[in-house]
Amino acid sequence: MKVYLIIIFIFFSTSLFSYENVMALKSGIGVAQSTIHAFDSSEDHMTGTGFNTQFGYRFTNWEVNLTSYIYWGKIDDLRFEANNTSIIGSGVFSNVSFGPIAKYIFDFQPLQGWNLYLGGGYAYSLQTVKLKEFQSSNGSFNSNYKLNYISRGPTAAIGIEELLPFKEMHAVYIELLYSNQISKRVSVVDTTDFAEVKTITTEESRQKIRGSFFMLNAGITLF
Amino acid sequence: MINIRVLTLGLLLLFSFDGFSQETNPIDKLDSGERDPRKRQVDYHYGYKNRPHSFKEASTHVAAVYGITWVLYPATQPKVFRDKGSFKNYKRNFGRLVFDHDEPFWNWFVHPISGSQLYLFYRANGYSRVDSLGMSFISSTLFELTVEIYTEPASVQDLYQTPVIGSILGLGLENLSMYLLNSGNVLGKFLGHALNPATLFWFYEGKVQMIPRYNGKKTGSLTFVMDF
Repeated sequence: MKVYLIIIFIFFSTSLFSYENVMALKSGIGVAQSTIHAFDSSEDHMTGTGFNTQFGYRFTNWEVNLTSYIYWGKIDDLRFEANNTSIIGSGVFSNVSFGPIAKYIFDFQPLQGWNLYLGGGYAYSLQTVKLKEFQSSNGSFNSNYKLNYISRGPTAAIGIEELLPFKEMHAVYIELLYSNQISKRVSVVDTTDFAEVKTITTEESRQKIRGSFFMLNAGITLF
Repeated sequence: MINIRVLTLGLLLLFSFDGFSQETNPIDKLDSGERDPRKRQVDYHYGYKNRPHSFKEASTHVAAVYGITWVLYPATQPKVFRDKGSFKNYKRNFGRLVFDHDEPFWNWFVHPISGSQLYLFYRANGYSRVDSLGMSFISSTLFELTVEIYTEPASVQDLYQTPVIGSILGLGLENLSMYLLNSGNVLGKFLGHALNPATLFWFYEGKVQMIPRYNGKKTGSLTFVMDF
């Protein structure tokens, strides 16, 4: 009963002394740790760095944003199947995620002047892998090819944000974001002509490639 | 030994602040109201003044940008427009939204650059930063959904990155160009206008003429003239 009362108190307490009812753009940098659970039950781990943007509307306690999380990194020993070819290799990857996220900012301050928030949403992602060294089961894959996975899945965030009366004071936020995504479509793309890339194959993912992403982000309200 | 010499020389250069400066700080000589002699005299001050816009005015700006995109798109990418463009494609691509597979050069350079210039166009027309972002969003969405589909379907990355990352880049260009334009030197002004071409056009509202006046006695004034 006590827990319910505390939850109700937190949700209905609207005494935040913060800027409200305005559009705002936030941006910052971050690091990410991804795990791709590949077709042969193996796991590929990737660590990357990048940046994030959040553009949306701040109500009193609620904030609704369109977000993007982008990061790049290196990957070793990636295993996948594409176009009936099994490939193992190392190279570079990038991840671009877009999606709406709703946040609730609590009155609770784990640090003085910093309010806790929780967020949830849905992300649509494009993971691109460009292999530099690889072995393939036949010769149809070459080093100008890149692999694109289109994935989607739910996203959850927990973070703290400075509580400031005006957005022009550039409040800082720090958040931990988790997303669990399932790959829906895999494409092999020929990048020989960088101005006009060619999609070699696109197939619905039957491999049940699942990715989980942890991101630690920090940024400021730009305007 | 050589390394020590280089290091000593480097330190000497780094800490020799007064090598080319005057013996006394010129600011000490300043009387109240006198121009700072360390800064060049400028005829114009460049900046931004935010103001509200009527719906009609905002619509006119969006329509102008929209019209320009119909000219610029085929002009800047004639081969793509000619080889891949058709009204059959337009019909097929209408309403479609995909993740494009373009190379990073397009998604991380060309589109944000375009978005930054859109943002700076709206800034030049007196929109606040967040309003400029919103207007850029409208303009780039119209381009993606009704112009670019002549050759390819609308892209999720472009829809978001062009206005949002473009505005972040635009904010940086805005600050840098204002610094350069107000530096008062020829190169600074050239670079400032090159980074922020919208400041060259008639619609730019932030150019303020500065006219210093001195009455021959002890008082002077500075008149700011701004065209609307």
